[in-house]
Amino acid sequence: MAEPFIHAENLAFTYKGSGGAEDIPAIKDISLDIQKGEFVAILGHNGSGKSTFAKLLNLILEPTGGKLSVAGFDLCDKELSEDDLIALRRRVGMVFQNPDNQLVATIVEDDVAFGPENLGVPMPELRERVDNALLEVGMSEYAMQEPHHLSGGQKQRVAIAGILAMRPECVIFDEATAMLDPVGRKEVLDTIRRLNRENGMTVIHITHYMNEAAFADRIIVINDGSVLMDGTPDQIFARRDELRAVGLEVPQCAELIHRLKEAGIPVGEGKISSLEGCAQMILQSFAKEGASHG
Amino acid sequence: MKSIAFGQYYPADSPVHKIDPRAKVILTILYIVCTFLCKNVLAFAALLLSAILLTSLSKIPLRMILRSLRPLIVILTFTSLINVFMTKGEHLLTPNWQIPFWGGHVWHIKIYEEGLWNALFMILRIVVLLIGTSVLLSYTTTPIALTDALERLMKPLKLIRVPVHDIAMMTTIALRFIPTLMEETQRIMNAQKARGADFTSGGLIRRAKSLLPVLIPLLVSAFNRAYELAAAMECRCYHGGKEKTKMKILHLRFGDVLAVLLIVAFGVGIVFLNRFGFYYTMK
Repeated sequence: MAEPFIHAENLAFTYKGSGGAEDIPAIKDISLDIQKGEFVAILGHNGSGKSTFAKLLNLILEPTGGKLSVAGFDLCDKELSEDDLIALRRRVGMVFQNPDNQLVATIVEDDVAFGPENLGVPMPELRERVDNALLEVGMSEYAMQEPHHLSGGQKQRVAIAGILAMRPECVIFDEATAMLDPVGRKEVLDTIRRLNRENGMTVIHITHYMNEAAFADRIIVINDGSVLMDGTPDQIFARRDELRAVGLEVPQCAELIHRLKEAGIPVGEGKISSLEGCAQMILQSFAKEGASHG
Repeated sequence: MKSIAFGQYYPADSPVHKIDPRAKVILTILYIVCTFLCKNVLAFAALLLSAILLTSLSKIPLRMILRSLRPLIVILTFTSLINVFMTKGEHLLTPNWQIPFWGGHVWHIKIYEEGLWNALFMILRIVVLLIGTSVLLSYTTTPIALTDALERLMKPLKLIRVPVHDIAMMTTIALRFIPTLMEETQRIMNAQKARGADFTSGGLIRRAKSLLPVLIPLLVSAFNRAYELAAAMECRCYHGGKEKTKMKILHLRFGDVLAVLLIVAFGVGIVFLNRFGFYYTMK
């Protein structure tokens, strides 16, 4: 297998307490590999360390222990130059939770241009990048609008376009859907999925919504600064009780399957992460029932 | 809260709107100089004419201009009164106006013709000054274009280590966050009102005090926003103004140069008109 895009080995990070406060270890021991083109959801309860982990990936925070390499850069190297840092952040983009706090310009297209302008992309390529990025998130018709006239979901899509215009290989969504209404959340989630499926973008989606994690290829559950589970959504959702113990609830359809099992109905194994998969499992159990009675 | 406008920008498709913002800054400065060059009736007539022409060219509704003049009424009254009563000249209009005071004192009111002219000229000068700057700048230029223009015009200051780019960036961000913070203020005020806060009654001090529970959360949230924005900007590879390119490059066109030349010609014209001793010439 090729060298992983992200490689973490016994990664640790501690927030230094200031003014006599105690140090808080946010990341204790994380070891994992993420390949190019993967769609990984990182799940965790509040305070599990999932957002801290995201901030380590493009060096908003510096690791305090272990090893971490991203896109070929060794992030524990204290002598990483400013140019390397910029090169890293170009390749690994990050979308934050609050759409209001990441837009810098008063006009949508100027904001999208901010990243590539910083990278020194010349005209006319710059124009082309901005137009393409807006097209990709479906915001072309809002190019000349002022951000405060847009809805939360639209603002967040503009923020995504701002990252896409830098032409990254990987985008980290740090609870990018947490502050949105259901409509906005769907808009953003559809955009994220399309980026991964159609453009082959490596996506790391940090969330505490289980049903959003179900869209990923792989789910990593983080609890108390360490990896608790790592597997496909089907594998993860099959472990309902362990998830519940760390304050996470499986989606309702998966919950239904678990309850049916508990009630002694033989639903068997299947694609528990999707609505269709659960429906299939229930249908099959009916078929079995029918066969045994018939 | 959706209707908050940035500054006073009035969007329209007019020749004044189309002038390059850098040219507009220069035009405004030159126009201010022109208003101070005027000395006699002819020159002021030309100035007034130019202001009317400018306004009609800019397609800005007259009532907007008149509304912007309203706060000036106090200043205009004050300066004209001072001019009327304090100017000394040769043509006394009120030879025998006296107001008796207690104890045999008498106040002689002396209004000279020159004083009336001066007051009129002063009013015209201030009004045209305001119309000129608002039509040329605030009504027809977006704040962002203005910031951009100032950054470019101030570029030479970089030589004496003025952080021109940083100032421009800060201004842009401030403009970007005005509506966001206004929305937030409204939200906090509503939250306080829901808990029984009263912002409208009581004296000045009480009202100012009642705003404290609004200002403190607002300030805290502004700092949090600043922190998050800084992280987001770093993620988008912001590293100051070096090696930065621009998507929107301003091009000086023939029309912009022509506008500057016209205003210079206008200034020369005014100096010429000043030479005619028509009625009264200001000193």
